[in-house]
Amino acid sequence: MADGIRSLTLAQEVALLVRLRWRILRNRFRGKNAALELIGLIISGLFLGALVFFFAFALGEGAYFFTSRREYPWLAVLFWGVLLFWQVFAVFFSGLTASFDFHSLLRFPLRLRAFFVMNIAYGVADPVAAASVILASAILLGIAMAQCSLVPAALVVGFFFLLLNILVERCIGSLLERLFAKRRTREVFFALFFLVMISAQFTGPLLAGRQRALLPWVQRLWPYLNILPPSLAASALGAAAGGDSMLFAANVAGLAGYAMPFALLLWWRLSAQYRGELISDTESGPVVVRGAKASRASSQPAILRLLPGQVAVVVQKEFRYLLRNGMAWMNMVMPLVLVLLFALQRGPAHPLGPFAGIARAGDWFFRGAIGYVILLVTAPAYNCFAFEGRGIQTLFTAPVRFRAVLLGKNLFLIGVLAAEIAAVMALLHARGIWPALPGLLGTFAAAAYMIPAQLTVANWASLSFPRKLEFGKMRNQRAPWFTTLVTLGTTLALGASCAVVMLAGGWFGNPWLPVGVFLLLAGAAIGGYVASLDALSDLAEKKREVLIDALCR
Amino acid sequence: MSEAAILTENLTRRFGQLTAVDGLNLRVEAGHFFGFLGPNGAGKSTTIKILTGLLVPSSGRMEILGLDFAAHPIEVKRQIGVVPEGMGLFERLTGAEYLDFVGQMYGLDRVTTAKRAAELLDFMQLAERPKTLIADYSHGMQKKLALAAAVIHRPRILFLDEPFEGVDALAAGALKQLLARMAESGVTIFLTSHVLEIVERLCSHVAVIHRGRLVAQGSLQELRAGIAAPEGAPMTLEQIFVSLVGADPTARPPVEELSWLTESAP
Repeated sequence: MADGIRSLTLAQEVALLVRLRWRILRNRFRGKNAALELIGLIISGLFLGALVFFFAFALGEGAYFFTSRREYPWLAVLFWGVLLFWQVFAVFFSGLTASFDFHSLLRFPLRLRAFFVMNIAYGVADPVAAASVILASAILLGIAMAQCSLVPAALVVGFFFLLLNILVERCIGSLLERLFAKRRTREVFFALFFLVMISAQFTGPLLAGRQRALLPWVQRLWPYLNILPPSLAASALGAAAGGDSMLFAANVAGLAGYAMPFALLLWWRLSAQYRGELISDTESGPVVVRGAKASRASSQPAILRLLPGQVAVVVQKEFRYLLRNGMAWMNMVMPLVLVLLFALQRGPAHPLGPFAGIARAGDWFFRGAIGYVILLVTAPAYNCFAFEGRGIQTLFTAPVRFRAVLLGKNLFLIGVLAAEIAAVMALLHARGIWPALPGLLGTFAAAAYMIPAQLTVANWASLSFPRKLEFGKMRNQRAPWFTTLVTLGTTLALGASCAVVMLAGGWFGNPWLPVGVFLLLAGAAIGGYVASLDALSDLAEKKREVLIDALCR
Repeated sequence: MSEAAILTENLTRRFGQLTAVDGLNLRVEAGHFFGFLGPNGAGKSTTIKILTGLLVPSSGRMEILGLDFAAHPIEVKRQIGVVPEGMGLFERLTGAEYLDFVGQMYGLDRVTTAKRAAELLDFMQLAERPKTLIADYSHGMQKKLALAAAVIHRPRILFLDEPFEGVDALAAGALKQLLARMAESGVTIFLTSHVLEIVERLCSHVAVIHRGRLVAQGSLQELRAGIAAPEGAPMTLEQIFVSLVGADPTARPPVEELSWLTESAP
């Protein structure tokens, strides 16, 4: 060993990494827009915190109720809730979690155990994990308040239940990260996901009228649920309350037994990374653009030739980027799938569908579906330079006013929206969900109001609070917190104004009133949008350093 | 005196307390192959960013081809080509798609863009993998593509920030030949490089920036004449450079202070 070098203990290594993470977090709030980012984070945190508190209160109440009535098996339902929330939301909200490339640590003489411990510790730092810990703690608190003697047992059960959840979440995260690093796997996974989502909708009609025949099967399966972790946790608490220490120990051992294979699996995954496994798109060789069209880079659809050259070429570039970005593509397709799912709930074939009542209100469902598509498809527009990366420099060195870039991006999004709205309309029509003429025209007029209004604010937010996102990555792929607040505020304001106009039509008994009002609003919104382009072009020049700094990192 | 392609007056750029470029007065004549040198952090890339419109100066003014940049940004940008620090590529396009995008952004028609893109890809030896995304190019390939994009519209001034970094020797030779021909044809080339041999071989004129301030400017002969040479062989650019920016004995502690690193291994 070279002189002056000493071996670090595991605790020292972990302490070093904790200090590193703290410094990275602290420095995040030093850049431009840092104050707004912090404000956004605090407001979002308060909002999400209130939600978590609400659910924690409900779970605590539930735990208190079941424990005070000595109905311990029902505690399993509460534990199931926490487990599903933790594991399912962690995947869907992985974009919100903190980013840290653990691989960058591997060039240091770090031991595998420290790498493992840090990975687990990071698991608890996820917002979803933190919320889940609060929810689980609320259950334990409810139990403790109902029956004080159960506190030691509740702590033991709580510890193993939390440990199991952390390990499962980290395992799933690690495996998904590995899977999704490859473009091909991502495509296959998303295709399967859509197929499963759509197929699942046919199970309802298939099972209709066969519930009684299925009941014995369900009853036969029921005991097997008792050997799953939430039931084990509930059984352990029941055993502790009944003074059966052997049964308590057996159930806790069962929980630990579940944790063990996940710990081993996670250890195996992290060991592979520790040995130098590369997780990236390039691992399986360079990505090639498929199709004969790829070689004809200069070919351009005829419709684009109607646009000014610089706008057309931005539209074309956006189209190419969409095709090569699985996450963005999914974001565009998801509204269609969800509207399809909602629409399939309608009708006599599926009378128990949770959305059946809504679906039967044809006008409202139609408007809601179109509004929902607009909401989801325009969401990425609030951080529309996210995937440009260093390419943003090309946009600033090119002899082009930024209005052409914004216009190109917006026109592309409007094209996608038009296609999606047309598809949704066709789908709803096929399902017999179709509004009367005033409703139809009112919906179109409302869309003509909402879209330019959204895009005006979105363009401003994109220029003011840019944040780089990366292709093929799951973690930390979110817009800045302040942008999230702007998006939420704009959506709420526009949604509320639309609701007021539509309700006013009902109050005055004039179905054509919303059409007229929305047309006026649309005219104002389109005028505002056009007027904003020059101002935003100037803003882009002022914000160029912010954009380059944020996107070229 | 011939027309100045690049002219700056008291160009200054501050980042908070730090003055990265401090009252820069630069004059680059049209058709010159101009080397812009300086140690790390001297302000070279900041200057290029200002001259190409990627950064706004805190004060001072600049003219490119006789046009005030602040007043005529689009006209100026139309006549310059840039390989910026970091190259500025859209990594999820293929090389051909990127050149197509850049060509049309500069106002070339599609046919001309396609023809020039194909020729440039051939010259840069990037045509063999037309369907590969730029993200999967090597660093050197990305540099070559960035250079191709910088020249596709036949600019009158070319700004190159470390253009040969990561480019293999064969390709670098061809690129140097191309740049020399462009300079002969009247294109002004403004280049930064840490490889002083390249600058010495290619550039007719040189400026040296140190801590944001211009410390020397002129032809190589003028610079040599301005510094007292040791007897014997003529001064190399490296010697001139060191005498201009590396002579401050207080700037860096002597190597001896790192004796723990330089003495014989145990």
